[in-house]
This record gives sequence, structure tokens and C-alpha cells, in this order.
Amino acid sequence: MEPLYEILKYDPGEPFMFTSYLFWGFYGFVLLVHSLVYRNRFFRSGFLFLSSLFFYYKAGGYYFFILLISTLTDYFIGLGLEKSSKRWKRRFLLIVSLVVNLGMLGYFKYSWFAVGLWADIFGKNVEMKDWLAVLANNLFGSSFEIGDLVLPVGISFFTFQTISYTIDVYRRQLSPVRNIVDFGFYVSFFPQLVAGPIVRAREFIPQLYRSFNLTEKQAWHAVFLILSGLVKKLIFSDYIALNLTDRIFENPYLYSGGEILTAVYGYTLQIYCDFSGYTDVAIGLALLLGFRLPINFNSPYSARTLSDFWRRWHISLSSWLRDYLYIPLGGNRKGRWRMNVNVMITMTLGGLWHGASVRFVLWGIWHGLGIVIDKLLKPVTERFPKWLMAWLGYFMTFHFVAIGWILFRAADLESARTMVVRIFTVFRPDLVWKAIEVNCIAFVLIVMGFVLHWLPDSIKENFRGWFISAPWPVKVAFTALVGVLLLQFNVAGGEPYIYFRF
Amino acid sequence: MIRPIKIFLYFVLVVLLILVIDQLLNDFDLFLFSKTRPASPIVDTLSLSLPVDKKKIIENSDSLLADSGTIDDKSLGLSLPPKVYYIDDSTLIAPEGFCRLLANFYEEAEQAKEHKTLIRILHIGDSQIEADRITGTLRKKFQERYGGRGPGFIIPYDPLRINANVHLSNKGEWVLSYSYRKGDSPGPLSYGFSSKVAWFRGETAGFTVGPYPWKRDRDAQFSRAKLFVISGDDSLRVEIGFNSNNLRSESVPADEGIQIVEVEDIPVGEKVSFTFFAKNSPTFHGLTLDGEYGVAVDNIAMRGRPWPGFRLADHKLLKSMASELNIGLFILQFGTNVLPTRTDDYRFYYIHFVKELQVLKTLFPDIPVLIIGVQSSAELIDNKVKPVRRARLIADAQRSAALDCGMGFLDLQKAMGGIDAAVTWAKQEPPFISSDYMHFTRKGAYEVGLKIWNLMEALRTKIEESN
Repeated sequence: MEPLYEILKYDPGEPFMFTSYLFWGFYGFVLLVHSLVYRNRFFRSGFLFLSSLFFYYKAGGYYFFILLISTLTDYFIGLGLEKSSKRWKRRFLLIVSLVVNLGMLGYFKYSWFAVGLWADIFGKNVEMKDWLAVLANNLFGSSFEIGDLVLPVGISFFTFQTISYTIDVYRRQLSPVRNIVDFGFYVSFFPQLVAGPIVRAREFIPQLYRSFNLTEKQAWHAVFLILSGLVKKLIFSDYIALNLTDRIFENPYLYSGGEILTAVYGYTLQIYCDFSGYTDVAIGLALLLGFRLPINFNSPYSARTLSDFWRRWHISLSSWLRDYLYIPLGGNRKGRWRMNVNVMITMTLGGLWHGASVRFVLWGIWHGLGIVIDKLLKPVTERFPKWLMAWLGYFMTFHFVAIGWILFRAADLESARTMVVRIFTVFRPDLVWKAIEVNCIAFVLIVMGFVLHWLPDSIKENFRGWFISAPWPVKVAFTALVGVLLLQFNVAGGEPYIYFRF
Repeated sequence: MIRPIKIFLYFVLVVLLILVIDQLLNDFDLFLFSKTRPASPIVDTLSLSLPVDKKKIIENSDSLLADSGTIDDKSLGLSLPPKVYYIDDSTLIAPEGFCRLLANFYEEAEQAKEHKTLIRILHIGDSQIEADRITGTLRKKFQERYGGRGPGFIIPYDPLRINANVHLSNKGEWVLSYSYRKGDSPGPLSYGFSSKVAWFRGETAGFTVGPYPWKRDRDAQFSRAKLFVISGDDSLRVEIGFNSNNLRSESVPADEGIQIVEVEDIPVGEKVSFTFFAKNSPTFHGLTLDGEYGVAVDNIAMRGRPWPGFRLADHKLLKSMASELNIGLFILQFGTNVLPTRTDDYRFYYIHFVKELQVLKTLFPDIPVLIIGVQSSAELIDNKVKPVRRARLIADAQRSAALDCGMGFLDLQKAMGGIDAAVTWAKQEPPFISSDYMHFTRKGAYEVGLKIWNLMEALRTKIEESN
């Protein structure tokens, strides 16, 4: 029993994610039990709910109680909203939901940032502790670390998910879920729990009441998504991160401007492969269990404007910000000036959502300014030939986004500034060639990754079509060979997904 | 519709196939890619051919665990000095002679403010200290305590823009020559402490140096500049100015020895420019940017070097520079570039290192030398981050060399938390060690700087108490 207990208990040193062997053992078990209970809706939802809680415990430890608090709060508030007809009561319940969810998010994600900012501005140090850990230690005699505040994995995602549910019920766009198990399952469904996509209740809840319905082709489509997601993550993202981008971003002053620029392009591909790879696997895993998750990426680096980029990048977050922040602020309904202010507010808060740091705020402002300038220049740019603006827009958008990633990834603002300064002052192309010689595979992967990204959709579709239409022994053999390739490439034992930190 | 049990069976089939193929590949030792992360990725690192017997290459690094893991001092023909101070469970080992010299340094530093004198610490190291890492923290601490300002010693041509504190812009065609690397040179060159010499092609060139606009701290501010130049067989005319205004013109006579061009009372935050006119390029051996008094802490980084290179330097030049610089303490920090050399016998390194130290000891018997041992580091083996055990052997070779020459030794591995510390440091948030598991991040370098300072302070207290 002891070895089994060791496997089942939370181990901070062994992240439980799609790239760990243990996760695939867990998923195999889920597939087996699901195949036994899938006809009974209660058992199916109940089993998947419990599996999701276990997944969260393995991924984030005792913080799964936060998930439970968020679930219970919004479940009861949803029921309360249905019963209340008075406006003030409904508004009060909505505020309670916002306070609980944003309060938890604020406490875990932003309190140390706020305290640090306070200390910087007023020059006064404030003693900071994890007061929840202090409380738990006093109440239960536990020995949680109190000097550090650990960000519970996925908190930014599931709190936004439950907020969207409550707002939709408040707006009467959605009937509340009456069964706590169904609601818990919606909030905690493990494929998308820790890094999205942020699933809307109105898209997901109806699927709970439908019976399992998946064709053979859809199942192989799911397998294709899982394979492509893992290839993006393990072959492209992790390899480039470990062999190129991490070390340059960590110590930029040791590298020439040319090498730094290659790292910026490398990171541009890395973050796309990392995050979209996670999403592809999540969608595939969910589909094999009979649930459809929304797409989250649509060739973002093919965008020709910054607004277009945000319609293609992390779609579930940008649509969430649009529906629950930008439009309530007034959207584009209150004149051009207000629209630009609303864009700036939305993008700045969107930046802050990614992390408690001035870098992320500046990254949000960078994108906000880009969108506003793009809109302001539209009357001028429309006069140029369309083909010229298309190519120019595509080039400019890509590089605008790539420069923004410096702020996103750099260790601190000084490192970001060092990187930019060195790109312009110490370019040294001769060292770029040496770097390519030393680290050939990483550079080949970067070029290959962008070529694949920019391939016409028809070619990608043809390949996917070939795979799902091939005879099953071919598909099984192909899947196994890709699996072996992934094992060979898995040199780092799996780097954590970038968006696990948010 | 596909039944879920069929999905499960496909899953099992695929997993079994993957395991079988992977096992077959392992049985035949077929790997598409190395399972070890490539080491030391910084381009421009010199390819060193360290003399290692191929028979000594470690087949299995874990075998070191079974060994004692230390170089026996006696086997190297060494003996410990008669009286030694141990700080923090021998993290800092200080022989009596070293402590005596160090006490003199501290005394002079204490009096620097009163006597309006400047005393220097030369922190010489490999890429681990590049961009003022570790040195910056030491400088801050020393200058907070004893006074002083400015970034200290720099080379007036910095093509890689490594200098973190001041901005250099050069006019003309400048070249950097290294004592340890083949390259272009205007003739036979003499090398000083930095093992680098800057010179220019043509008859005129110049440079401007000033603090980075965003640097407003003590490191970037200076009020006194000293240029170390050898004019050679032709005289040199120098025009000096502040913020593009010409201040004065000076003639440096032809001489094969080092000469100083000094600028004082530089307004804080101003840029200083030097323009040179000569038929044959003079050679520039450094520029110091300091305050009027206190302690100056110099960062002299030599990327790719396993030891400082004093043997390749011009010893007469070293002596004359040292007397002009008023060096009070040497801190040497090397070893990172020896880490990729896999052997279980680092005697070769000891021999090279001790010879370097003997040069210092012979030339500067009155200046204390502190050796910082190589840091704990790690590497990726079979998907696991494992500590580099041979780092202990390298540190032991350095310690033996230091003690054999009567110099102080600071065991950085111990200070970091032991031989496995790199693994823990890499897991810090933000990480203290870079993803090559060898170089410190800025945060890690700050921590190391603090540790070195604290250990030196503990030693200072102990020396004071014993006196």
C-alpha cells in the first residue's frame, strides 16, 4: 500500500501534467472507468468530478479547497439568483461572487505585488505572511510555510470560469445548474482546469445532459490533436526553451544582440507551441470523454492587425475580457475616445491577469497602445494598396507581438531593457552564426516551427484528413511512433507549461 | 459511434507499442538525441584544450559518490599552513599570513575617508562575474562601509557591451587583443591584469564614457578617471572633454612603460571624452572611473578562462600598474570553464592554478589574495537534474592551490548549501541559477555577493577579536 500511497499523494517535485508519465496512467484509468459508467449520467459526471478533484490535488496539493470554495460559492449564488427577483438582492449576490472569486485571486496572486509596490512607493516595509497558512497552522497544528505565498495552479482560469457563470445567470442568459455534482464537474473538468481554455457554462453545461456521442473519426481527430499538442510542447517548446531561450533571457548581458534576437524569435514560437500545445491536448482529452471544448488558438502569427491577433490568440480569454469587461465598460458605443480608453483598460487588466508584475502591466499597455494606434491609423492605411498593407500589416504585427514577448518573458525590467539595448548596440552577426553552429537543432526547430505555423490551412487539413481516414493499424502505428519520438525528445523530463503560472 | 471501451483498448495498444519500441531502441543504444543538455552555451567561449588523460574520462559520474571526492593535499605535496582561521565550518579558510595582510587592507580601507585615499579590490574571474555580477554586490557593500563610488576598472573598448554601469561609445577603428587568443595586433603586446589590450587602426580615434541614463546609483557615478596607456615609440596627443566641450589637450611622450592620463573633478553624471592622435596606435590597458577616496571594486571578467592568465602578462607592467592602482586585495573566481572537463583527477588544474597564484605571490607578497572556489552546478542526465559531483574535485584543487600559496579560500559550494545546492537554486522562484545550471542569474549573483561579503565580514571580526 505504501508505494501506491506515494504515487497518489501530491509531490511538488513531480508536476502532474500532460507531459508526465503518471498523468497518462491516470488518464488510462479514467478512460477505463468511463467506458464502464458512461451510460449513467450521474455516475459519469460524479466519476469525472472526483477524477478532476484528484487531478487538481496532484497538480496543486491542498489548494484544491480553493476550487471547492469557488465551486460552492457560485453554485449557491446561482441558485439564489434564480430565486431572487429583487434587483438589489440579485446585485448583492453578484457582488458576493465577485468579492469571493476576485478576493481569492487577489490574495494569492496580487497581495505580495501590492505590498511590494506599497513598499517601493512609500519606502516602508510591510511584513508579509501567508495568513491562510498561519490560520491553518494555528487551527490544525499543520506546518505550512508561512513566509511565501504559493499561487494555486489554475486559479486565474477557474475563477474567471465561475465568474462568467454567475454573470450569465445574473443577466438571465443562463439557467443555474441545480445539481452540485454537475456544477462541480463543470468548474473542475481536468483537461482544461489548470490552463484553460476558459469554458463558458452555456457552452459546457448542456453537454452534461447529452449522452456520450462520438464517431470513430472524431475520436481519431482527438488523438491527432493530442499528438500535435504534445509535439508542439515537447519537441518545439521545451527543446527551444532549454537549449536557447531560457539561458539567453536569464542572462542577456552574456549574449550579443543577434543572439538575443534569435532568442526573441525562439520565445515567440516557444510560447505559442507551449500554450496552444496544452490547449490542443486538453481539447483532445476532453473529446475522447465526449466533451467539446472551444478552440483557443487560430494561427495567431498569421494576423495582419493587432486586433486580429487577439481574435486568434488565447481566444477564450480575449472573448471573456470582451464580454465581461470591454462591453460593460461601454465598448465602442460611447464614442471613439471612450472606446480607446476602454481598450487600454481592458488590455492593461488583461496584462495584469497574466501575472503580478509591472512587466505584465506594461505588456498589456504595449498591446493596448498597439490596438489604439492601429485603429487611429486606419483612415490612412486604408488608402494604400491592399496587398501592400496586408504584407506590411502581417510583418508589423508579428514583430510588434515578438517585441512584446520580451517584456512578458524577461526576468525583470532591467533585463528587458538590457535585451533591447543589446539588440541595437551589440548585434554582432558573426556570433549568431557561431551560435547556430553550436545549437543547430534549436534553430532548425525554430525555422521549422514557423514554416509549419504559416503553412496554408488546406495542407494541414489534408494531413489531418489523411490521418483520420487511414486504416486503424496505420493510425495506431503512427501514434506509437510519434509517442516514441516524444520520449526521445523529452530531454528535460517535461518543463512546466508557461500558463500554469497564471 | 465509437464505444468508450474501444478508445481504452486503442489507448492500451498504443502505450504497449510505445513501450516495446522504446525498449528496443534502448537495447540497441539508439538515441535520436543526446539525453544530456549541452553545456556552456555562451558563444565566444574559448575552446580550451585542457590536458586531460583520456583514460581518466569519467564513464559514470556517480562513481564519484563512492570515492572520497577530495584531492588529498599530501598527495599533491602540500602542507597546511601553521595557523589557519576557519569561518562558518571552514566555508572560508584563512591562513595566518593571509589574515595579517587582510588586516592591513581593512585598516587602510578604514582610514581611506580620513586620509582621502583610494584602495582597490581587483575581482578577477570568468564569465560568472561578467556584467558586474557578484562584483556589483561586493562593491555596494564595501563602498557603503568605507566610502567610494564609480564602477572602477574598465577596458576603454567594449564591443560586447558587457559593462553594466557605464556606456562607452568609440570613434575610429578599435581592436581588442587578448593574451590568450590569437588575433590581430599592431606588434608585440604587453598585457596587464585584464589580459586584454585595446588599440586602434589609423592615426586618430577616441571614446566617450558616461553613466547609463537610467543608472543613478553609486556604481555609475565617478569624479576621477585614469587612463593606463603605453604610447610606444611615438608620442601621443590626447584631447579631453566633458559633454563634447574640449577641456584640455595633453601630450604623452614616447615610452615603452605605462603612463597615466588623469582627469579629476569630473562633474557627477557627466560624460568624459578622450580623442587620441598618434602615428602608431598606443595600447590601452585600462581606465579607472572612481570617486575621490574609499574603496574601488573592479570587475575584470575573462570569458572562457579557467585561470587568470598572469603567466602570460608582462610582470613589469603588472607591478607598475599595481602601484598606480593601489591594490589592497585580489579576489579570484574561476572554475566554471573547467566544469565541462570530465575527469576524476584535477591535478592538472591544480598545477596550472598554483602557477598562476605563484606569480601573484612573487610579484605582490604584501597583497592578500582570496580564492573563491567554483560554484555548485548541475547537469541534465537521463531527464533528471543531477549535481555535478566533479565540481567538488575542482574546488578541492583550487583550495589546495590557495592554501599552498598561503592565500585565503572561500568554498562557494559550501556557502551555497553543499554540492547539491545548484539543484535547489535552480528551483528557486525566481531561479538563482541559470538553466545551464552553471551561471548565476542576476538574483543568484546578488545572493552569492552577499554570502561572500558576510563571510569576509565574519573573518574581519574574528581577526579584530584575535588582535
